[in-house]
Amino acid sequence: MSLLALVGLPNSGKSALFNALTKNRQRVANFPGITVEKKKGKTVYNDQSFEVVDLPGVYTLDAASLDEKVTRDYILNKKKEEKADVFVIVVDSTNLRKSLYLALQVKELGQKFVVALNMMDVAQKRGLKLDLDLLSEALGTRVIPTVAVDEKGLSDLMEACLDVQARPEKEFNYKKSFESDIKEPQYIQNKLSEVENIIRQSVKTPISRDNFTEKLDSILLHPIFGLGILFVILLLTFQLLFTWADPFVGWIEQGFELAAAGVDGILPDGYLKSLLINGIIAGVGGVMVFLPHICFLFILINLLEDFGYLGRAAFLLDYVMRKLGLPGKAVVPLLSSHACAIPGIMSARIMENPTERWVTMMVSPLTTCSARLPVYTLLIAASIPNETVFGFLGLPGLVLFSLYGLGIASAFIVAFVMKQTMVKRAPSHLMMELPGYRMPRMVNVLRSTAQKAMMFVKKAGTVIVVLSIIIWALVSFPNPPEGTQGHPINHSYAAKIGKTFEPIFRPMGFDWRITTALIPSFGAREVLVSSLSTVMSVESSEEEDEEGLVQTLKDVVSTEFSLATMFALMVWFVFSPQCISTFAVLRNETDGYKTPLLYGAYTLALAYIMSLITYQVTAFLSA
Amino acid sequence: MRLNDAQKNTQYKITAIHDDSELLAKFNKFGFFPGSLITLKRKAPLFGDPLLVEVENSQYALTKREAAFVEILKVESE
Repeated sequence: MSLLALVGLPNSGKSALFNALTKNRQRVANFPGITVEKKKGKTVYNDQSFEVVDLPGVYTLDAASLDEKVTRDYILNKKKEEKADVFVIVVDSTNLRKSLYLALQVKELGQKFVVALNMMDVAQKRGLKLDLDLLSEALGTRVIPTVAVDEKGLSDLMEACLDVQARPEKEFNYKKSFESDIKEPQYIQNKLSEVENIIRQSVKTPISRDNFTEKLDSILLHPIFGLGILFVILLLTFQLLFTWADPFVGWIEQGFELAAAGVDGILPDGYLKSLLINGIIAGVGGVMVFLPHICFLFILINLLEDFGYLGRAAFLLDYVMRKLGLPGKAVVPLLSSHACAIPGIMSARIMENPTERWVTMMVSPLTTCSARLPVYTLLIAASIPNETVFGFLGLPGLVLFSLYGLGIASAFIVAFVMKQTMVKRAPSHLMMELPGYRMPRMVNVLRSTAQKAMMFVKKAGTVIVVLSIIIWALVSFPNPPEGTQGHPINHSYAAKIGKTFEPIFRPMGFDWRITTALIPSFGAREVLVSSLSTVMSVESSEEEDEEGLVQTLKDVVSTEFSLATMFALMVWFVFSPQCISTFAVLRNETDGYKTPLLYGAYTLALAYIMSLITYQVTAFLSA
Repeated sequence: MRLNDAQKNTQYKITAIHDDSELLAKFNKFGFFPGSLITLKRKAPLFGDPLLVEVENSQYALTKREAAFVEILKVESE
């Protein structure tokens, strides 16, 4: 099967063309060993099948970033696993000059290529008139006007690919020095004047200015309206994840509860039943509950990105965020992580700089995710009197607010420290193109969102299920000896681990019951509430009222544990390694175990030190 | 003068780019070359940084620190 490789500038509509050609026959994976997305698909023309690969956007062959290198290596025939038969250079017709530079480089190398003059409708509306024959002659290949979002010009394009593919092979004109030659000012000047010549010959009427973008920018980047609109969009993101995604999460949870109840009715009591319900169904359910958050966030991000707003948001926030140690775009992962770190970490993909993206992923889980809320609520209710301070502020609310503040502040501090110490001091640049505004196409937004969700389920999902089963085993084995009192968990491996580590956690006021209850809470943070009630032997009242259970647990916790212990536990939850899904998604996003392990190590150390200080100081003050 | 001191909506010509690092590659790929015409269109609402500039009908955002590498000369209107 022939392979067509799509090459083009970022924002040239390359992905839209890929979508138009391949529709739903797409596979998304990572290029081996790196986290650059590889999109491949199939298209059929005249009963002939073609493979199509959507290569990362590049401006020139002078590649700096990982994804640019992928594209360069294809064009320089350096990809051992596959070789493109025809390159389709996707040109943004509204900006011929920049796109032609790349086309000339591909031509220079002797590769077979065709040119898709994409977004021709917009260019024509803005008055562009081209002599296609002259352009085609100058480039030495077929030049086809296309409108990828409306699927126009596709069959002409495929016809041109067939035609060019049938042409005799040219000598591959590559010298070892190519990569350094193209950096030489003389080379650049020559190419630029070549581009200028082609433009002069083939452009009959030049394109007029993009007034729409200019007008919209004067609102969206306005000192008052611009910041106001940005604030509303950030608020909307928050609302979307916090409130609107919730019913979907609820339905998914109910679905898995139903499945568990079904299994409960069919199977006899025993390990198999327990494994199915508490290991597998809980594990798979634990993967699926993230989908509403992931989908909602990525629909919004993709819409904003396709519209051209994301770069503008970074423009508005860059100065403030940079003073805090991270670039403007980091606001999306950090904000989203307040709902859940999983979509938050995944959304760090919008950041181009790999170092900054890595640091952002490492610190995002420090912000307070919604799963920690039930834990904080329980501990605050048990430890803080419901008093009013300064006349109007409720003390419990103030403490909760402080915990949120502690989370976000520590995220910025850790990011700062990491950038100063651990990370190679790679220069951090903002410089980026702000593309013209364009109407996003919902079908492309949804497709890309679905692909992200699928990647999460397949890759991270497997890890999460396996880890859930391990946690289940720790809590369920071995059987307590006949006739023992109390909950079986007290005889489990989890309890043994809890008791073994108790001396280490003693100085921060945790006894073995807390350390044991912490183990299942790695599955999901909110599980601490139920696991704590299990080890504390708090039985739910007969009507199985959840609120009643929390109420009883609150009373037990407040009598059994000192104020210092409860404070230390709250602080532990701010800093400690978060749930297993965080580990899984970090592994997935970085394609390795180094990052999640490093994340686990630093948060463990940080949580230990901070809880220790909290306990000792509180104990000293309250003594 | 340098780009970070440019006046809004005035046309300048880039005369030199004083950087030989990764940033120069970025300037190159975006088409910022000696001889290119450049206009400062906007400054960010907060603290006037970053800047939004226009080169060859495309718009770019860059910080003042980055802009300080770009040497410019005012284009006198005839």
